[in-house]
Amino acid sequence: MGKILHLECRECHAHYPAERLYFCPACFGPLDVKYRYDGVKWSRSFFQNASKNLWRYFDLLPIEDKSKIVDIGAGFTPLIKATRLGKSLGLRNLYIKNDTVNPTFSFKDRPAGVGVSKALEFGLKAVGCASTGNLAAATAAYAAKAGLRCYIFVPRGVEREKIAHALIYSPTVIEVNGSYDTANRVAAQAAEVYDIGVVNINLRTYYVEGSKTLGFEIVEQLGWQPPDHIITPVGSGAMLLAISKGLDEFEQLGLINSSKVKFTAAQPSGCAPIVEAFHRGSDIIEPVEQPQTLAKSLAIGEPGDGVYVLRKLRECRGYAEAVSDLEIVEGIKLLAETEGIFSEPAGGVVVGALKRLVEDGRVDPDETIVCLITGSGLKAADSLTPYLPEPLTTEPELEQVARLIAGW
Amino acid sequence: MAEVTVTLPAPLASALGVSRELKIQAQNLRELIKALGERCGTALTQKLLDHEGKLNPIVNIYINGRNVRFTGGLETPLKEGDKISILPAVAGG
Repeated sequence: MGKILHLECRECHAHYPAERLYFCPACFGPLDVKYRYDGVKWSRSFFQNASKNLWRYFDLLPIEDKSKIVDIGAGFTPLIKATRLGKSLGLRNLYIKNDTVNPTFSFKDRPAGVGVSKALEFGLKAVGCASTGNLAAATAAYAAKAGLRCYIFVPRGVEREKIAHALIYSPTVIEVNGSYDTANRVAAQAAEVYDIGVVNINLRTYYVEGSKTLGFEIVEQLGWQPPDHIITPVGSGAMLLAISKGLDEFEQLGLINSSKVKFTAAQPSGCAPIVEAFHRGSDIIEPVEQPQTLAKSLAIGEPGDGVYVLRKLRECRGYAEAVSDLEIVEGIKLLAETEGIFSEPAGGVVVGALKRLVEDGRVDPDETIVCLITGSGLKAADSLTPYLPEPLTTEPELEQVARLIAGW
Repeated sequence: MAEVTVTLPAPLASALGVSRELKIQAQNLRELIKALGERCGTALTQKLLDHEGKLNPIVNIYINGRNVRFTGGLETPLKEGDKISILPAVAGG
């Protein structure tokens, strides 16, 4: 008897065995993994000697056979008290979950690790993904570690650093002439025809489980207390929902008293279909055909989990904020200048959204707030260069240098 | 009346007991969904449309690769040889 009880449709609640199924054939709804929770013997002390990576939560990750785990050391990333950033914003309990330090420098190592491990457990010989860049490198790295073939679908215009990063692991990278959503559609069609485990499409049910480890870690690192408020970048919305699921599971197991956390969904204004629906008071997501934003990793115009994110935000009385490219750059710089963390634009979206909430008086200075910084700035350095000053130049003479550091 | 090719996702075709690829005649998307219901059972129509008769937000329908939400939705006209792809709304991650 495995640890997975069944897959459950989020819409009609139909149950299915834990097979290669990624949507409910009865109603098209997404499927969630439900575990045999009574078989999970977790306590706070259980984790004292657990591995310092995401597999410390193996009992609630959807891999049955430990020998199928593909591990490159992802997870259990630092949760940093952001004292200087907090001070600049007037917040006393602000934290940064720094997922830029994962092996491929983004949070995608979490779901990709679970997705590729599940592909191995299913006996697949090839994996792949549709990606705005971060997932490309993560999937390719795990495929390399597992010895699986890998097919990566990316849209035109992804940052070249991200393409280069993925290519180093020697997958087949297919740049589709269109937006992310077009690349995603092509990948979905390929997944229907070829026996490829496209981690965020036909292995999605399992893949998203990896992202909930962010929520597990935050609670553990805050001394087994959930924060009051999590500010998360949102593309499809899958990560936000996965974190929420993780918190619910901790509550169900009695590890925390309450999983009630306020979420803020942060999107770039050049691609903010969820934020716009939230502010319209609508349950309908109007897709964005051609996203225009510096935050390429959030340029998902047809967010698969958008309707569920809207429900979650309303249930937790959360917020949704869209920020401009300029605010994104200011957010990246503020984070770097105060905390020494260089984020990709998605992190600038988060900091920009937080600033907005502070300015509007929507957060209490004493709230425990966690900002998710989910990808490294080195992945998008080229696109940030136009916003940065030129370095000072000098002849190699101390007198000239002295003029440049005048005011010391 | 245009004859178009409709491709269903494999788990759905299997559940309905029909072929993944179907030839259907219709003038627009609304007619196409009705015709699909007549061919495959009304359960399919109920999956593609919500209770108000609008496109189900958790389903994406593409005509020659373009999401019909950008082409006029249910009123999108069809022409001979169009390729229609129906997929669950799964994107990003």
